[in-house]
Amino acid sequence: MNLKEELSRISQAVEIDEKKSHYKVSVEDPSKLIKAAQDLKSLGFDHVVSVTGVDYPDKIEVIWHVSSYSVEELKSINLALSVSVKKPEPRKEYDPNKRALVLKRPPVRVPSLVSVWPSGAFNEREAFEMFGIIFEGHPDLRYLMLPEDFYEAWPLRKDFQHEKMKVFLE
Amino acid sequence: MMELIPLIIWLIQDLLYIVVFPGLVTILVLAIVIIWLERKIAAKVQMRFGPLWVSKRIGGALQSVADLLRFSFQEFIVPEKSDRWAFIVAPGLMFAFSMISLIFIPVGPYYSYLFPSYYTILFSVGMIIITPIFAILVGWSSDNKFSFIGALREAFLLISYEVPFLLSVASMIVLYRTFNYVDAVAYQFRGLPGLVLNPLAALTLLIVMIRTTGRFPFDITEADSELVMGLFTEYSALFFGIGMATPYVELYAFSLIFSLLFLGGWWPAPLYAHGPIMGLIIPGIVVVVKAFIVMALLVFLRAVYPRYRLDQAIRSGWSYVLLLSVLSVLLSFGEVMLLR
Amino acid sequence: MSEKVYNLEEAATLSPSGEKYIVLQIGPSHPGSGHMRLVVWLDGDIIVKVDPDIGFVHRTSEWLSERREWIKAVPIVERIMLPDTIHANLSYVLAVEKLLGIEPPPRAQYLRSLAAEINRITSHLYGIGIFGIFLGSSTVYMWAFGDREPFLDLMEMLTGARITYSYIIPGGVRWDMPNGFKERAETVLQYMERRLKDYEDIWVKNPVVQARTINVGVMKREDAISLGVVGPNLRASGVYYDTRKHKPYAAYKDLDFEVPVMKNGDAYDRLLIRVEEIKQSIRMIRQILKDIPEGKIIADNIYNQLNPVMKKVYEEKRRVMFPAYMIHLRPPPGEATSMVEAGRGEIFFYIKSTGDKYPYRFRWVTPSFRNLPFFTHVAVGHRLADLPAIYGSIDYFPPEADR
Repeated sequence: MNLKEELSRISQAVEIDEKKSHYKVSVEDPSKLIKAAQDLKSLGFDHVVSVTGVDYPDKIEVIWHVSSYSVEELKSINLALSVSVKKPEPRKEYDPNKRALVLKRPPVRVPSLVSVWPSGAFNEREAFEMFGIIFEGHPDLRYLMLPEDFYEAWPLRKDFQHEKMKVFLE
Repeated sequence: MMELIPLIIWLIQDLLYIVVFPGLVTILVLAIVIIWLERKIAAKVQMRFGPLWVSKRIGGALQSVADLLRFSFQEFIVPEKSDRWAFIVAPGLMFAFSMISLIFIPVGPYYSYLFPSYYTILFSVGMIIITPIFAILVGWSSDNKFSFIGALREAFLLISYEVPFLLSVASMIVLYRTFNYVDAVAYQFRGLPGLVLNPLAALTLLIVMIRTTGRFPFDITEADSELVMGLFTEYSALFFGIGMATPYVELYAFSLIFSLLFLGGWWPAPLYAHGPIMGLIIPGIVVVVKAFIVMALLVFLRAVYPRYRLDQAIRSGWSYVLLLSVLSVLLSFGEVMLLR
Repeated sequence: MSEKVYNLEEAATLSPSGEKYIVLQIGPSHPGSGHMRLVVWLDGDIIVKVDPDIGFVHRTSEWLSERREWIKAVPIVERIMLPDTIHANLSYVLAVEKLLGIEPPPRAQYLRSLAAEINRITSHLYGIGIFGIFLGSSTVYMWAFGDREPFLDLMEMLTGARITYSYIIPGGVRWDMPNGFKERAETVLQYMERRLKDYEDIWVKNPVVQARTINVGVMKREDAISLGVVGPNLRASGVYYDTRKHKPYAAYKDLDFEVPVMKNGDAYDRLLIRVEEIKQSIRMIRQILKDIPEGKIIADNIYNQLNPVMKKVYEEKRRVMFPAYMIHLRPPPGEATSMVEAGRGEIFFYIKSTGDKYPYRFRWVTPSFRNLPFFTHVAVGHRLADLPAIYGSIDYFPPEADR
């Protein structure tokens, strides 16, 4: 099986560096994500290792790292499936609880791949609470580690200001 | 006036019997020793020292006394939503009934004067059987889900191990043709000890003993990795201490019954001897030592076995143990037929 | 397993206030929960749904590491995985080395494998001990924690610390193997082999243990693959996958070892596989001690940047003092992943560098986090008393999962 050929059939943007064991498939459009994931699964990538976001100034890149337990040739490969979503502009909103204008950083929306890979369920919940990525179609998208009153803080985004959360000051 | 003297002597004897030997003081001392021994045996198996902080010279033997003192000076908290009176009274009743059973268990030929009855075996067994009912009350009154589940487990186990217990005792009653401990011991003096005559009943009673006193592998009602502390999750202070001490009292009562029914009672000592030393003290010490050995054997199980699951314990109770007890009754009948 | 089959779709709709079920909050302060909360819906004695509520010991290691110099992440990741620190350390350093493009010398590779295998034994003993206390056997608990000590002493001899070693740095390791280590290690290994027989007598072949664990918490092969569980738990379900074999790192390419695989995937198999892995680790340590090549313990381009005092210390004592320049480490832009088979399973690192003083994105996934589906999928349908058996058998470590 020529992996590069197979992967380039899924998406145009494929980076492969076998020396560094770096394999990456990038999908431009979030709507094509599920199709790409299904294709990868039929290739033999059967479980998700990690789901994470990377916060850039203008966009959020969501990466699924997948690998294989069942296909012998793919067991040595750790493949990244990435999609980039543009971040909405932060806007000021009136918060009735704080009685002040608050800077809201709206979440981004990406289709969930739990239907393809159930192993990503907890990972997607973590990415949701840390980056504000709403995985559409996730059966149980709740906060996992953060307390409930951490709402919409998205702590792993680069513009998160922990001083304002008063987490460490009290 | 002169007629009253025997009565006074009788009363003093009874008081000594209840308070000193084999009553409260003995139980306290034995419980302290057996808890210490349990921890030391487990420590030996587990490659550590065991209690050594209090009274280092005698190997930490006073640790249990220190624990008791600590329990006595703690604050007793009654949870707001608990059934207040049941919560307070139930552990005391549980402790009391396991103590009452001791009154009917003679540790010598003349001890039965305290309760001059022909039916001491029945009374003591009956009192012991009542005890777990208060355990269920303890769990119910706490209004805690863990205690509640613990109480349910206690109830299930109570029902499934009661029948084998009664049958194993009944088989010995059949064999000895008496309801009286002293006569049962006398029967064993004439021949072989009950352990040889009916080993099945002995085995059944041992298993029931482990289960009722919550020793491993039947430490199901207070399985700490599942139910925190089981029935006594909400308790504190001396009431918690009572809850922890009750299984040891029960264990003591069971061990006494076991040594009277199966180990020949006060066998090396004479059956009926006169005088306070040969008649009272020596037989008593012999029985208590035998009971102590049985207790030590049972507490050793902690070091070897983890705990069974509830359904497994119930299943074995209704299958193997019940079968064993039925067989022991049949064995007793057979022996009675043969010996006649 | 109960006769009645509960499906997860029905369970997902249950509300916490449902009157039909008892809702038990096991944890966060409960002897059988660890630093987490398991919300359990019970129908009688049967578990209908388990919702693991983790995060009570969430230590924001990703956030902290993204705001610190590269080398300072080593102690942070170590403190997350306390029973198994060397693997966290190794995994992070492997990722950084991929970015830097340096390759440690062979002796350092062997020393890394040596430390990793000793640590794997301590991690498995930790797991067996916790499993023991969950089933009620304090003996195995005490034994396992006592038998960790010789190995911790061994690690102290090798690295200078008992638990948090910070032993592995980009380019090599910090201490060489001291004199007398081989003899000491051999006595410890022989002791462990003797003890393993004792463990089999009192724990593995104990009828009560077998009754509690056989056919309890069965994870089928297909489920294990689709739910993505890792490590010994995966191999107990019959999947032949070991990062040491399939994505080799350190010296594992040169070592001869087997990957034990079981069939049933129940709690008993998960116990057995840990015992087998301890045996394999002992075998590997023997090989390493025999075959370890002579040479440097740190890569040349790191060595060349040491100052003269440090070079002198290195020549005399065979120790690398923590090079101060590492605080100024700036890996070239790019991204790197690394995977390491830790005691509990696979650690995954994804690191993105922009050539800055700090990592731009620091992501790691620990094995316990990936073993969470055991609670949500396997525990359903079992009795409440089986929950500690399942929990203990997967060797779940809450601080590790929370990161």
